[in-house]
Amino acid sequence: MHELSLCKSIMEIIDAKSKENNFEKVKDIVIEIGGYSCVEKHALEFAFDVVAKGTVAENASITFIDVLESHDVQLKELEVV
Amino acid sequence: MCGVCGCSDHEDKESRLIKVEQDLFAKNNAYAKANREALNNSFSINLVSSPGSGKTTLLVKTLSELKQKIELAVIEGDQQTTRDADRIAAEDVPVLQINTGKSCHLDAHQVGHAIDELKLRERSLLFIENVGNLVCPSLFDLGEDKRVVVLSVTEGDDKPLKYPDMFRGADLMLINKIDLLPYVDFDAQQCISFSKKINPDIEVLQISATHGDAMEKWHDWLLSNCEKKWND
Repeated sequence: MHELSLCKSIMEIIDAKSKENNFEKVKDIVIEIGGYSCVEKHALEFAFDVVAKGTVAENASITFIDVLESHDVQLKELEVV
Repeated sequence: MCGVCGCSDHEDKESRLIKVEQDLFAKNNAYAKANREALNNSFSINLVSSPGSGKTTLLVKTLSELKQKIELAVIEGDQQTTRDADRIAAEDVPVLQINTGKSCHLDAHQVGHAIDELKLRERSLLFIENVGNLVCPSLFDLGEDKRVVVLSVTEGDDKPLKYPDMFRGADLMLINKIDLLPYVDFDAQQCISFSKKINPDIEVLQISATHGDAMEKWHDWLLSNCEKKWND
């Protein structure tokens, strides 16, 4: 499923940000999902659980913000510790 | 201080927010842009459909017909095996197989590597046969010039309504296996009307790759699009 590809992109962004910002753990990930983006939230959460195991983002929650007339999927911000 | 045991070791650390604002498709789109530049002197088609629509047979027939007229090349995408690439290779056309493993679509990064390896001649017509899937490939720009969706008459005439993202993103819909129309419950006019509802600009051709019906129109569409790009 394509949500797995997106989760790998999320982890690459998190890895880059953890080097820049020196944090230990990600608590929450805020993602904006466009209505036309064809991304399924539950599939993304499921795929993310798999991809994040053993990383700083293990057990992080995902907060979704819906944007109706958009094709985009954007990682808006991270809540970190 | 911890309210359970009085220690200060495992207090909740204060969390902070880090702004990111990155498009998750940005990486793929950057690779797609690079592919588009690399394919500037060629004409490329991203061929999409559900499994079993007849994409590979269509390709084999097209290659057989066009190989004396134009330089050709193919990038094949499947989860496993080189069976499709082998069929293309039998037509003596340069072909590269990408096996996506668990992934259900080609992405621009994979296609970029394939383009590098193929070393296309100038003015080549490149076909990228995507993984059979009417959902996920619609999201991933590969850097192609045109996207062609193949729908066979054995699949149901309401597919454009049920899988709108794929049909919205396509330039041409090929209704394939029309030789089977007498035996299936498929209303071609209804299907075309559904597709235009989703995408008013979509072009449509009805063909049979195995029997040859209207294949000349498909080949003319390909060659005239090549001409248009190279002479503009």
